[in-house]
Amino acid sequence: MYTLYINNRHGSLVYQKDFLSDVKLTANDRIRLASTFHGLSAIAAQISPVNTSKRLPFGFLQTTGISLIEAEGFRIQCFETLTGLKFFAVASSTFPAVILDSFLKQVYEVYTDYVLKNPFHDIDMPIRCELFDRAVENLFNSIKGLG
Amino acid sequence: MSRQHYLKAGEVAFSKMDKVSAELLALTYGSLVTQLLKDKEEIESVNVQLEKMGYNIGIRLVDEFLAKSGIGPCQDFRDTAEVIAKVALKMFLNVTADVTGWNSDLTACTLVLHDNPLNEFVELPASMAGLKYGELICGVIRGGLEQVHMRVSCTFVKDVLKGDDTSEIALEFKEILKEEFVDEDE
Repeated sequence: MYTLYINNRHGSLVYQKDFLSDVKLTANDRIRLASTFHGLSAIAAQISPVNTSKRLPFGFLQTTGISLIEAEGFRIQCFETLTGLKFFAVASSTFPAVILDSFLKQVYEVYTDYVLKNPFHDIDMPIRCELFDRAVENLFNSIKGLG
Repeated sequence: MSRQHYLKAGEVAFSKMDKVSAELLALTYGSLVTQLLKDKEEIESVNVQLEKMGYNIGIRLVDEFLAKSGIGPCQDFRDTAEVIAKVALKMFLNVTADVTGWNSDLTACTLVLHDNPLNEFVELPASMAGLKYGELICGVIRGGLEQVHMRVSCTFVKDVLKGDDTSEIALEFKEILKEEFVDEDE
């Protein structure tokens, strides 16, 4: 796995972590990439011929964006929460999708523990929180041998 | 999904949570309410303040609920009410509630609380009859649902602290909040 991004529900990047030291992107590049992903995800939901969200009375709760992009050599996998947050990771295409998915969900759990319970963190603002950093690193270390 | 299913999901979620002593919670909440009563002149503004504090808790807490309970999107508002009553209340307060009193449109109902850990050791003096002691919980529900695009109103209508037989929260669905993108060129 190469990189983890977290977007807030408005599509701006609130957290980003590289797991490889040779990723060379400036802060602006990262923000641009994350926003582009948000935009693409919104467009994908609109052009999708299968519109699940209109059929049910509570269809607005269904998440509709991109969940996986497969490419030659890498893949981007996204987990979108019901509150609109997007956790997505860039990984090599040999990395098992199931493990990546559970990793993203676990990041969501530690996000609720270390970010949302931090009284100095403003919701929707970039995350600067050492405990969360450490928790994400631990999660990554527990799975990095697997892919 | 069935009621039994939610009861079970509530048990599982509760067993996963970190625990804190119920006495500690009851006493801390009690001192919080007393302090508010000292700071504010009117009891009504204490109710409002408690609800607001709950709301701010709710908008953050809902993510923890979604992350750890494993509950997916609800099918309709009845589903939502059951999830709150059987899973959410169980997970955070170790109580469950019964959902009753639906109106014909299925937009309003009553949550009957079997027990309220916040009420432990509490006796309301007659002069405080207007105080909604547990109003914070209502704020949490409102804040939490707002994050998943549902505007609701939520308040205590009956309270054992005031001599009622049960504690009841009235929950009413108001509207779906939509995020709309307006293109200015059109």
